[in-house]
Amino acid sequence: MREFVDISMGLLTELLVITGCAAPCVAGFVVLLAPHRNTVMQSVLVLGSLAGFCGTILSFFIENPIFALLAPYTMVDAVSLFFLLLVFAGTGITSFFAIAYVPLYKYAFPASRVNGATAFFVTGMLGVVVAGSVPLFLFFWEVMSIAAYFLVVSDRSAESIKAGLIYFVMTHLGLVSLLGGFALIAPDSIFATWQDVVIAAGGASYWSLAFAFALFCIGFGSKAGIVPFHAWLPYAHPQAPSHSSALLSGVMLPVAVFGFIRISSLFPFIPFEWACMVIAAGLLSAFFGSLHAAVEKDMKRLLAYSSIEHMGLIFTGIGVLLVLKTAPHEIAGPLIEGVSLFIALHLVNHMFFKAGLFMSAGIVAAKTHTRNLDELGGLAKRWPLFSGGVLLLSLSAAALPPLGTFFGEWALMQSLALGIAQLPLLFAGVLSIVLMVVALAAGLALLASIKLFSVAFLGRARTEKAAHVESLPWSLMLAPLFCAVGGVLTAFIAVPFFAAHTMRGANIVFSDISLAPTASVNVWATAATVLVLAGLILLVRRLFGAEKVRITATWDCGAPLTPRMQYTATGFAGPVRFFFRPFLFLKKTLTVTPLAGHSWIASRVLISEVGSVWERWVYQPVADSVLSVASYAARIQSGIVQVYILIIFVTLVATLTLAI
Amino acid sequence: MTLLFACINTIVIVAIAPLTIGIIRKGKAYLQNRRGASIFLPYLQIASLMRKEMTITEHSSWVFRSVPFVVLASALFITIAIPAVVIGVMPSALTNIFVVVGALAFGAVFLVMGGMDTASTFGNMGSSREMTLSALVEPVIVITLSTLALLAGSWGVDGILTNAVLNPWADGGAFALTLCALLLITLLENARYPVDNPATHLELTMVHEAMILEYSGPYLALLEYAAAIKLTVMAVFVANLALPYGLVVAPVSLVGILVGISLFCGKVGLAALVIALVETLVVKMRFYRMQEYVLLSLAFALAGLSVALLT
Repeated sequence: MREFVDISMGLLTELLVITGCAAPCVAGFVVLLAPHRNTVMQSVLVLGSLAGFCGTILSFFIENPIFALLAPYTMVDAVSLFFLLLVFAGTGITSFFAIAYVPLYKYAFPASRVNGATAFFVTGMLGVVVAGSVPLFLFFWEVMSIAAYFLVVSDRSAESIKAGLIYFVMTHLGLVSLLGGFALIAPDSIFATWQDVVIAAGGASYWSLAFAFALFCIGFGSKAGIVPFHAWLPYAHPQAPSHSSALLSGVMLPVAVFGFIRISSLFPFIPFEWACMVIAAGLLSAFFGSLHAAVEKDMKRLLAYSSIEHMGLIFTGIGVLLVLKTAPHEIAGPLIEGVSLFIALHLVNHMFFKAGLFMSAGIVAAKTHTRNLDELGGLAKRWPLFSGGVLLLSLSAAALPPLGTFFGEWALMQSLALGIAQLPLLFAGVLSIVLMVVALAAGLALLASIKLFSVAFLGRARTEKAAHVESLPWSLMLAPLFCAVGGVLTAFIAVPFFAAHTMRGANIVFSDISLAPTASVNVWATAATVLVLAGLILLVRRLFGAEKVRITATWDCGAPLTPRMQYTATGFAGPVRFFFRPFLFLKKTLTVTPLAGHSWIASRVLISEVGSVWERWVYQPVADSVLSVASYAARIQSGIVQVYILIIFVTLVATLTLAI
Repeated sequence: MTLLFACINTIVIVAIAPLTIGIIRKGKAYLQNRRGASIFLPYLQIASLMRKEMTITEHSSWVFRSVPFVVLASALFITIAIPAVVIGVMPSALTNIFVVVGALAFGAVFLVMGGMDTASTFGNMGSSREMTLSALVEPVIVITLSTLALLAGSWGVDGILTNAVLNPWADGGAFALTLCALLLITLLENARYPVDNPATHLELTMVHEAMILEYSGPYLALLEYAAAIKLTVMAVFVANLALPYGLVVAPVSLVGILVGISLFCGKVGLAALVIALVETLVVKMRFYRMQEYVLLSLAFALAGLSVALLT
């Protein structure tokens, strides 16, 4: 009997995972056969992802024969299973949202185009996560990248095509870096499996490993939006339809992180200096991402910058992990567990709140026809329930207790602080800087997410666009609300689960999560305290407070207020722009044109731009020099056939001489 | 028992918080050659506000109405997380330094949303400024509390205070520098001079008062109470670190608690008078020079950390 149960559970697990992995392919066929049946295609993805999700969860506990069967071509360990879960969860949620969302945009883009690209995109991500050899990994990586391009350009507007172009160039620079990296560490075989790469890398010289590591940092960093290879992300992510943006930010960036984790595990050693470079890149991303999110006024670009920040934090975490591995193990061991806990938790939480916020931004943009925060306002009065969900998501993005994100970031900060106290001076110095910048980024991220919520949802509508919005159907609201609840529940489910996995001590439900004596938090105690306090205050209010309420106008000092007198998102971030002006490229253009016949009356147009210093001081010079080299190269292209033949001849002769 | 001691800490703070404000006002009045109102006036103010009718602006949403409760709850949470009289009994999970930072930020964030939900430029201005200050000061708080924890060898505020009682002013240099940073943070977090002027509602000076301008009646009472509680907790924390006498460590006796409470009252009075003195001597800084203030506190915090690491 027992055997029978075991076998049938194994079969069930197998079946569920296969269903999950096959779902995007089936969905692709649905698009091919019935291009306009959005609901059918999305339902296939939702159900398939649900099956895959359950199967993956079961695979943690039951030996899953399917992965062993395909062994040399797939490699599935705990890390892949974790990322599989992430892909399935993200796909399921966003596809559920897409059932109601895609029809809203039937005049902007045909459903078939987006849905076809989504099917390829999900297939690519699943493939990357389970791939067991270099060519398969690169193949699926490319499928994912190209499908993402079609998601970005789906509405074919000029802005989207420009964003798509930037994305396409950057992602292929990344791909070339990956190819170069693989060529350096595993030069002998193109069909190398991960084990072959480990063996080949073991024999490689220090400098080829160092170059390969740098190339992999560039390759995966450019996909994950790590500064200075982040330039495409704030253009591309916002241009995709919102459910795709959610997938791009919440799932594709983690898949890039997966790639980096997988590849760095193949290296025989990673010295302190390389790890410090990873930390530096991560901190730069965290700082610039949160700073730009704080001063941005386009909802979806704000979220894209916030993704850069959170990926930066995760890369910082990985860098710290690599640094800690070079430290004396008896001290660094618990800290490594703490930082791993942070990385896992933060990926989960980021998926929930970023997908939820992107979908919410999509709803707001669909109903108000603008993504500009300066034109929104007062939505909380019209959509009370939805605004509650977005508030939870924003608090989650701000990493405030008692939400799941807080406990993730706590694990990072506490490990850093412990490291400062316990490790030798060199490590302590590095970790102090990390702790300071992480805290600053957390502060700016707090500002960004609160700005997002309070400018869009509180106060009065700043323009007519936001003033008359219709009520929201449940079908649109459900997915973001689910993510909001998910962000709360991760504190109670994911935190104990991962803590039990990464730390010694099997059952830690209800008990403290502890990284060292006295360095602990308790999810349940914190939540219970918050609930007791809230109940107490409500009780006091009921017992003593007066119930006399008069609804009045806002205090206006005697002159009527207009909605335009409110602070906009631009105004809200004014102090931040001022305090951080060395790190931003600010440009103000005031055009004054006197009206004809009334020289003292002038119309004034102020254009205020917040640009990126990276684009101004890094990308622009590089682009300029590439263009100037190209214009020199154009000189030999005279259009005369004889000259071309001469060039071919000279090249041949030169090659032959060199070869001999 | 833990629950009882947590209640004692909270009740003592809640009972004395308005008095802190009263003493500061009285002290400032004396230093400015005025007679000033009774130190018990804040109690009467809160009581009378509780009985008054409320006006709520038509442009606000449910968020506006939830803010006073959340802000008060966050202040009460801090009274639990930063014990004032009885120490060494709270579980370290609840007094963890990063939980304290999170609870402080939570209250600040909801105040900001209250100010944004009024459709008034005053409220919005206060919100923008408060949010900026909270964001800027975050690294300073984290570094300061980490240094204190590192010196004490314990990651809960409770443990930090216990260590201060057992070895007062051990690692004097690092401790003193960190305490300076903590004092600057306390002034900033509680909207005192030179960051904010708590006495006026003028738009030139305001941060905290601007955000709560639109609140009235019981809601205003809750918000003012929360502000008083937060100020008292943080001021007493600094005082307890600097003068770690009279804190009740286990084993707890009734006499010990009574002595502890009376010394606690003395510390509250002393801290309030120091704040009154600072507010009389220092002028308010321009808001757009706040980065200098924050950088100064960061310099103190980092200097404290470096000294702690190097010695």
